[in-house]
Amino acid sequence: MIKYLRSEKGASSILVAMVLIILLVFAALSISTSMANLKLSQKYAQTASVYYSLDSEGERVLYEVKKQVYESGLKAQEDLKAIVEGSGDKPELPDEVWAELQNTLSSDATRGQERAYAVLAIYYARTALEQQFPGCTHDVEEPLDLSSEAESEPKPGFMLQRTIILEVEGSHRYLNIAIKVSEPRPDKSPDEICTIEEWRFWQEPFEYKNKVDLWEGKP
Amino acid sequence: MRKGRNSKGFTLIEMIVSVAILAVAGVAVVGLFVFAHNNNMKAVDLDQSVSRCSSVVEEIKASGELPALNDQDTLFAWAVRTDMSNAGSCAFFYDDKWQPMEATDSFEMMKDKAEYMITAEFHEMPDKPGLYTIDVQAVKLKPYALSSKRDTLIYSISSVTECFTQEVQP
Repeated sequence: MIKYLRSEKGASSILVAMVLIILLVFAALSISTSMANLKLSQKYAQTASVYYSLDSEGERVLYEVKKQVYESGLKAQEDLKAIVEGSGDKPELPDEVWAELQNTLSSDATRGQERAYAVLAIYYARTALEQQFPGCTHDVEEPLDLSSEAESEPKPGFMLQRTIILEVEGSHRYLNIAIKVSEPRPDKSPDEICTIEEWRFWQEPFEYKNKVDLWEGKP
Repeated sequence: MRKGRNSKGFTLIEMIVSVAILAVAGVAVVGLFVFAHNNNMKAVDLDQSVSRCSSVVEEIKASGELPALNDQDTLFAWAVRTDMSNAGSCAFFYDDKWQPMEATDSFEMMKDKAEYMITAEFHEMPDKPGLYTIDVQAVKLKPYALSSKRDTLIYSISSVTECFTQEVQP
């Protein structure tokens, strides 16, 4: 026993080296785990950033729609006054809008003016938004109302649909928005006139690049 | 000389060199552990920052303005005004476990005490009345282990919200 204890072959150095190697292995495992954690957190953070980038663009579109609705309302009010009172310059409008205006104004004094205001405001708003977002506006398809027997006249309005696309690391993220603008009245705020019909985030289906052949639980 | 006794041991120089190498290797291994620990801390901080920054943005969007700082119903009850002349900015402070700290002191004093800070700014765009920007940033005020860098930016969100409220007067 004494013979082995007195050995001077450097066993303790080897032991220390072994401990260091074991520590090194554990350190490598620890680093790989922590890197995976950090990568996952960065993905999560990136998803949140992308969400807010797309949402911000959607908010900008909604703002433009509400602004145009508000400005169109002011313009419609001025022009309607000029048409009814026969004062000032008459607005330049397409023939079908003129025909609809004449039709509504001749039908009923109060309701006719309300509807004429709505027709004008919708026309101005849609024209301005069509210039800003070409090809994004279309007519509203109202669902058939089977309960009322009386034939209801179509409500003035339109729909603005837009898809915002963001490319992130080779894949695309989308935001679909649909804003309905309908039945404007001078006493209504743009918030009441504009309704958000769709505000949907989505991305194309994808598959995880799984290189490990995982057991799926089947025998 | 007695038989069986091995006298071919290491010299002092050899021992010094080997101990030095082992010490350097040991320090490097400990450094790797610290690096892994810092990475884990950064991952936790990033997760916490994303969720807390999102909460702040959503709270502002829901109310359409920067909520009152003494409103106990919102998370803004813990907020501190960053600049007394700027009503559109405030800050939240958190301890090392990401627990919110009560706003008992001034902004500068809270900054010295806290481990993390989230700042929120809410401003109307100059050329677009009714359209607001929300900028939220999460910052680690104290350095990570074995680092001297303070005020590290962890995460930031920029968002836009519209609060168009004008009416056409009949």
